[in-house]
Amino acid sequence: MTTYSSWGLPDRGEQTAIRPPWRPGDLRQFSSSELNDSNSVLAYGNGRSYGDSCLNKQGSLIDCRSLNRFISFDSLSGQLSVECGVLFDDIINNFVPKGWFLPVTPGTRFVTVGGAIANDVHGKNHHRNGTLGRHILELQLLRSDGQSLTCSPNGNTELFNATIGGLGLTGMITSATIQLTPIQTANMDVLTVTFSSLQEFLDLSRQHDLEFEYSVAWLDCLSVGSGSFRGLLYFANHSKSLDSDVLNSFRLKPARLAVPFDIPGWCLNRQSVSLFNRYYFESGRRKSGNSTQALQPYFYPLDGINNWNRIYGRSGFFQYQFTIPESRHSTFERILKLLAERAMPSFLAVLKLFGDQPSPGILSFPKPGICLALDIKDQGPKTLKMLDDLDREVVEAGGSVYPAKDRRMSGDAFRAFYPQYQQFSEYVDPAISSDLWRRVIQ
Amino acid sequence: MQQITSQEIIVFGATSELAQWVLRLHAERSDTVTLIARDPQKLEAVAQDAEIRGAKIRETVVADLEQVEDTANLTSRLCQNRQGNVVWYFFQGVLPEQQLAQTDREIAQQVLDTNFIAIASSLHYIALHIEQHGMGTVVVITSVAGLRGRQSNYIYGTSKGALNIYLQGLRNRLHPHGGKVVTVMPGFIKTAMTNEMNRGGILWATPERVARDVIKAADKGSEVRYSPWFWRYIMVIIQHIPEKIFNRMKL
Ligand SMILES: Cc1cc2nc3c(=O)[nH]c(=O)nc-3n(C[C@H](O)[C@H](O)[C@H](O)COP(=O)(O)OP(=O)(O)OC[C@H]3O[C@@H](n4cnc5c(N)ncnc54)[C@H](O)[C@@H]3O)c2cc1C
Repeated sequence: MTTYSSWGLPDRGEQTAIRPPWRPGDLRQFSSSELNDSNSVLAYGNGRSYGDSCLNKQGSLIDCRSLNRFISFDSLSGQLSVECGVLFDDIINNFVPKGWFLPVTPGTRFVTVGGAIANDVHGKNHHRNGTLGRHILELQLLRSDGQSLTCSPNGNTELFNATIGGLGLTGMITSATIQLTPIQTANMDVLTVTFSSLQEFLDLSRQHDLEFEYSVAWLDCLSVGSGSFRGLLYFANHSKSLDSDVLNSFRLKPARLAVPFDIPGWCLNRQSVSLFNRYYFESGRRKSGNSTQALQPYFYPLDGINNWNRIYGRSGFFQYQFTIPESRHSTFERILKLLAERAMPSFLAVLKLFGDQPSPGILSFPKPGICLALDIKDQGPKTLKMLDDLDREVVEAGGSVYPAKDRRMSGDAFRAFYPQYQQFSEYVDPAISSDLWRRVIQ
Repeated sequence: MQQITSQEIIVFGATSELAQWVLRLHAERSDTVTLIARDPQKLEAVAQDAEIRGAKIRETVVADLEQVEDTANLTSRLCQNRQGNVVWYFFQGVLPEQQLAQTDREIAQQVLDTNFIAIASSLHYIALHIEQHGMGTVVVITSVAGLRGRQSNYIYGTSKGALNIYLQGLRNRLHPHGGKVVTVMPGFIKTAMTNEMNRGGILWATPERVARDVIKAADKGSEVRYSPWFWRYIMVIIQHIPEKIFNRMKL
C-alpha cells in the first residue's frame, strides 16, 4: 500500500498499486477473472488530474511511471514513439534541443503520455491544433481479454476514438506514437493586451488567433465581483529566427521554489487574492505589447513552484473548467456572477476561446466556444451546492465540464454533458474502473 | 561542474532500474556505451532508449551473469579491444527472499555466484587491463546490507559484504597504477525489486536520486559513497551495536 493522490487532493488515500518495470504484454496478469469493483484496475499516470479520475480506491492501480523509455524517433518526420509513462518534461528536455516541440501541451509538463491521451489534453493552441488526440498516430492498448491491440485512425479506429479522452477506462495504453512539431528556437514572441469586457476578449481573440499559434487569457475574477470585467490576453508564436545556440543548450530548469506544507486556510482570503490580482494586472498592463519570452516560463509558469496545490491548505480545492458556445454570453456572465457572490475569488482564472478542430475522442472535453478554468477553495457543502448550480447553467447552455479536473459532478450532470457516454460505454474494459466512473455511471 | 569529455562505459546488469537511470545521465553526455544483460528484449528496449537520449551504442551483449565462467570470458573479451579511461559499471545483483535462501542451498549459492563470484571473476581481467593501460575506473553497486549480517537478509548481505572487502583490496592494488575503484552503497531504493516491501518513509530513495550519486562518485573517483549520504551515519550506529545486544534484536 502506498499513498496515491491527485492534484486537487494532496496526500490522500492509501491505494494498492502494481508497478510494472517493463511494458506488460498482457493485462490479465493484473486483473482477476472474477469481475467486480474490488478486483478492478486502473492505470495511473502522474496524478496531475485534479479529481478522482486517476484513482480507484476500491480496486487497485497500475502505476505507469516506471514505463518511461523512448522507443523510437524519426528525426526526419518528427514521429516519436514512447512508453506510456514518459513525462512531457522528458520529451521537452530531449527534443527541444533537436528542434522539436510537443504538438499540444497542458499547463504543466509533469504529465505522462498515457495520462495526457486518456484526458485528450488541450493547450493554448487549441484554436490551431485542437487536442492532443489529433496528433497521436498510433497507440498500443492492452485489454483484459488478453489482447494487445494497435489502435490508430486507420485500424481499430473505434477503440482508438474511445481511448482518446477515454479516462483510462478502455484499457491500458502501453505505448504511443506522437507527431512532434518543428521549432526554430526555444523562445516565444509574445503579444500582451488588456481587455475590459467579454466582448472585447472575444473580438481580440478572433482577430489575433489567426496570426498566433497560442492564445490564452488571465481573467481577474475580483473585477467581476465589482461589476467590471478585465484581464490580460497573451498571444504567442514560436520565434521564427533560427537560433541553434538557444536550441542546443536548452535545458528545463527544475523548480526553484516549493510549498513545503499545507498553508493554513486563513492565509488565502479575499484581501490577499485581491492584492495579488491588482498587482498581477497592473504589472501585466505595464508590460503589454510585444516581448520575447523563454519557452519554459511561457508554457509552464506554475511548474516553477513545487506542490503549489498546497496553498489551499488541508481542505484542498476544486478546479472547475467548463466550455460553452460562444453565443451564450448571458450564461457566461451569470456563471461569473454566481462565482463572485458565492465563492472565494480565485487568482487563477484562465480563459480561452476554443477552436473548432474536431477531436477523434468520443468522450473528449473541448468543444468550440468559451472555456474558463478556475481554482475554487473547498469551503464545504456550500461550495458543492454552488458547483451543482454552475453545472446546471452549463448543461442548459449545451456545454460541458472537464472530468480531468472534477471530483464531484453528479451522474446526471455527467450524462447531460456527455450524452455520447452510452456509445463510449461499449468500449469500456470490464476489468477497469475508477472512482470517477463509479460515481457518474453507477 | 567540470566539463567531462565523452567517455566509454561498460554496464553489467544494464536493465536494472538503477542502471537505466545512470545510463540516461551518460547518454546526456553522448558517451559510448556497451550494455550487458540477460533478457534480449529488455536489453533492446534499454539500448534504444539510451540511443535516443544521445548515447552511442558500441555493443549490446546478451549474457547470463549468473554463469561465472561465461561472465569472466565475456569480460576478458571486452578488455581486449578497449583503451583509455573505460568506466566499468556493475549493477548486477539478485535479492532473494531470505527464507528461500535458507531452505534451498542452491539459491544461496546462486546469490553468491551472481552478486560476488561472477563480479570478482570479471574484475580479475579488468584489473589486469587497468594495470596494463595505467587507467580505468570500476564502479560497483554493493549495499549497506553488506556491512552487518542480520537474520533477515544475511545471505544477500554476505555477497555484498564480500564484494565490499574485495573492492577495498582491489582499490589498494590499483591505486599506484592509476586505476579507480568506487564502491557505492545504497540503502533502500524504490525499484521493482523492492516493490513488495513497504516503501514509505524517508529512508527510501528513488533510483533517480541514487543514480545521480553513482555518477558523481564515478566522475570523482570517490572510494566509498553511501547513497543517500545519511546511510553512512546510520551504518556507523548499526555497526557499533555490541554483538550481545544485536543478537537479541530482530532486524
Ligand atoms: C498545473 C496544471 C495545469 C494543467 N493544465 C491543463 C491544460 O492546460 N489542459 C488540459 O487539458 N489539462 C490540464 N491539466 C490536467 C492534466 O493535463 C491532465 O489531468 C493529465 O491527463 C494528467 O496526466 P497524468 O499523467 O498525471 O495522468 P493521471 O492524472 O494520473 O491520470 C489521468 C487519466 O489517465 C489515465 N491513464 C494514465 N495512464 C494511462 C495509461 N497508460 N493507459 C490508459 N489510461 C491511463 C488514468 O486512468 C486517468 O483516467 C493541468 C493540470 C495541472 C496540475
